[in-house]
Amino acid sequence: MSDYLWIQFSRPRPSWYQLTDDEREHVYAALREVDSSVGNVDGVKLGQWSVRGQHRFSTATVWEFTSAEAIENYWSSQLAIRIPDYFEIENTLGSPITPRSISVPSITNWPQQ
Amino acid sequence: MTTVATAPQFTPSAVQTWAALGFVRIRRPRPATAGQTAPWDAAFAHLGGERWAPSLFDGPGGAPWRPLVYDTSAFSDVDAIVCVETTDLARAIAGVDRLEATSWSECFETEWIFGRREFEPIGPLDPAAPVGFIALWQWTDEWAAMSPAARREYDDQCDIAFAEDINLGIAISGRHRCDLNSTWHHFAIWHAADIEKVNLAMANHEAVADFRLTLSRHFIGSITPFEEFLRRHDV
Repeated sequence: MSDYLWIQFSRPRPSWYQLTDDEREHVYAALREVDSSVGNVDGVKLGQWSVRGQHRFSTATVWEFTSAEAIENYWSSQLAIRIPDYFEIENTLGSPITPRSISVPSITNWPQQ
Repeated sequence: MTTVATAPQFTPSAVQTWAALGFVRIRRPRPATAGQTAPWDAAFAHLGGERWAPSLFDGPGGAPWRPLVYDTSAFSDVDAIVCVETTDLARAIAGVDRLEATSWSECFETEWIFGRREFEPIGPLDPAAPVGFIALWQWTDEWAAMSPAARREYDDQCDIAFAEDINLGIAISGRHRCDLNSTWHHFAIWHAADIEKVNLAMANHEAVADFRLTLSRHFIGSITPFEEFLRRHDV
């Protein structure tokens, strides 16, 4: 794997529950547009999973991005449509593990595949 | 209430550099594989060559290059906090990965958070200041539901407290934004003459209801050169 991992945990804030169905659909439409504007060369969404059963968040969305800049651009576009106003978000970043970046196996990492 | 004219002017950063904030725990005992990785000196030399800043208050450089350490071991389960800064996120990530590939990861277990600089440092910086204060915060549900005008009004109230911080002789690192990779949204670091000044500053922030709209996590550490930190903890 040579891409960056980006995991977005999210849960609706009270403000989300207070929107009408139309208002929520408006936000969903804006988010779909943001997602579809990510070029294949920049990143790909691997999927979305429910984590409500064992996390304080409700949803995990997982992305692979080809550069740190692509992550910054995507997060900025989510901010532009005010996603954090409606969802508490926790993002996690993973950097590529390549033979060059790990000189010898470290006990702090899982065995390399 | 004092007027906005006395509030400090936080200067937006012209160039948005990225910092790596590290929460460091000393591994006890040192792993049996000790010595099998390259020593951290080479990584430090590389970061120095790339002109990383060893703290949020320093410009690039320092030779030999060592990160400034906030020794938080007396006050929390984290032994030390470091915060170093470079030109962009990709470089910050690569630099941390390079450091972790050395004996650093044998000696320390570190949680890293990357933050984009939003504001420049402000306040009277005393090079001999002994106390570091590290603050992280995130906005609450209530803040998320507020209008832009209401948020500005809240910011103006907080500026009153920041003016008092500076009057207490506290230097503020500016502000970094880290919600791209953390549950926290912002962090900042202060340098102060003593803990009493920090406690007074906290009371001032409480008085303007700063903590009503944020969840905060704070650390106190003594500002320590890296080599002295190693000696003090027998690393």
